[in-house]
Amino acid sequence: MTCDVVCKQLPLVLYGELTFDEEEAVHQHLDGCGPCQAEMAAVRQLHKSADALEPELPAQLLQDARRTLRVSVSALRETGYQQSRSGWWWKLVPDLGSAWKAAGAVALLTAGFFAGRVAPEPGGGGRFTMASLSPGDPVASRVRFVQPDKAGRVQIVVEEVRQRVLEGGVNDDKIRGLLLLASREANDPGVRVETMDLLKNQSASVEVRRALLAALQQDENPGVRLKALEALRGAPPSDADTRRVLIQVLLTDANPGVRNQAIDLLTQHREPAMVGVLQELVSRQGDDYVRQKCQKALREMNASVETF
Amino acid sequence: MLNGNGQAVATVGARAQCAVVDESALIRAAQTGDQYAFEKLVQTYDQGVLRLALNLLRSPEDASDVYQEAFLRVYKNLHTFRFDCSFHTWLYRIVTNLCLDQLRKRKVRKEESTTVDTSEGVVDRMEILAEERAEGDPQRRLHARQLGDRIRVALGDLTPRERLVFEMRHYQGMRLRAIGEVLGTTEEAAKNCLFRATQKMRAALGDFV
Repeated sequence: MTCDVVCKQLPLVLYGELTFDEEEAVHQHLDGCGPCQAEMAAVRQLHKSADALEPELPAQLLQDARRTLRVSVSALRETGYQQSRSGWWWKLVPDLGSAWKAAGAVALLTAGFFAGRVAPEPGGGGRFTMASLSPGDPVASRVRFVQPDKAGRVQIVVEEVRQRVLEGGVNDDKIRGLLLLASREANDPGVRVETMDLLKNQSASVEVRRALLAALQQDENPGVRLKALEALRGAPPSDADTRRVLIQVLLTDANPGVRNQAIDLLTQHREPAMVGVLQELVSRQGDDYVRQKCQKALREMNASVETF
Repeated sequence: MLNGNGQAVATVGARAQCAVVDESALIRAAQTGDQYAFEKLVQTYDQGVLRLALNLLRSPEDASDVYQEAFLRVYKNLHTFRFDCSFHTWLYRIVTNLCLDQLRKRKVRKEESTTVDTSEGVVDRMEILAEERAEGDPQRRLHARQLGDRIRVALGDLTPRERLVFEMRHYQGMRLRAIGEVLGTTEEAAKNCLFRATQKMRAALGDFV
């Protein structure tokens, strides 16, 4: 086996794309060939470097993409688009042609109407346009899909976002459901903070507590996380999930204010089950305030401050 | 006679078969218009699709557009899927064609920019994504930045097909045979493509690695 052939196969060795015999032959060559060994090391390093460059897939990007797709598919369904055009239901609707003509006319009118709205603003990307509209009109829209056919008709999918005002008490199931949704999906951190505040008297509910814990673990905004902690003050002290998340926050949250509040919350009830956790935190925690709080709680519980 | 190992193998095999059966059932349900089945199908593959598009196009907006277009095409053409190949292959044919179109257009327009103007000057959004995970050590950050720059340039100099093969093999972990199927070519051609991509990147990095 020549060096040229071996060099060509080095990436394939690393990717596990060679047969046993082929790989064996490459390794045999490598054992006695310094330059090829150096080349192998370089290719391996290239792989490692490329690994380090791979960006994390932003969760928000995926969430937004899924939401947009859902809207587009719903719009397709609402406009009468069925996946199986040759399916049996097409045969059951012989008058579809005229219906499509009417739909096409409406679609063209709609396209004209929205074209004005989605026209790019000077200097803007023109990707997504907000418009000042009267109540009930869409507040945002964009044309997602245009498909002409041979007969001159056209199918257009327009995404629209409409505003609705809902009112009700915080205990109302529908309102609470929307608050829980807002705690996860509202883009504006101010809305999420307000949501946490509204949910704070309901942390006895498992559903609400889960939302608060999720915000505490995942929300990028420290203000929201602090509000979630505040809201969790009413949670049952023995709740294992709450305790687990608080410990995780103590060990991983980058914000000292959040960590301080978390230790306050964790130590507000003196439970024997907490002794081991607090001892562990004393040994692992770099934050002075948190360590002192743990030590104080342990002393008050007549427990040893350190593990041996 | 089944021993412990044999039983384990049988279980793994049964699970894999179950997954295939489940996916076929999902596809058939989605073909009849079952919205839930379609969503499940999307959620099975969409992270990989978005990741591939993001890595290749290095623009969240473009990646998102490819995602939308790909799954809308799946939705509109699912009735034509005849199980001649795996759903994964069929989907990735759509996705890679869309990505290749984008990359080719960029090659023509010479606009491969992922930079944005911010109050702190011009920054590369993909670099931010990559560096968010970097350690606090300034030397490591500097080295990572320089290496990142070189790899980025090297990736930019690959042909769209070479880049696609490298991304699918390296980041998506797809076998070369599957990549060949997706791209409508042979495993051997995919191998050659991968080799060329690696060679070009090695040459661009020089003694940096």
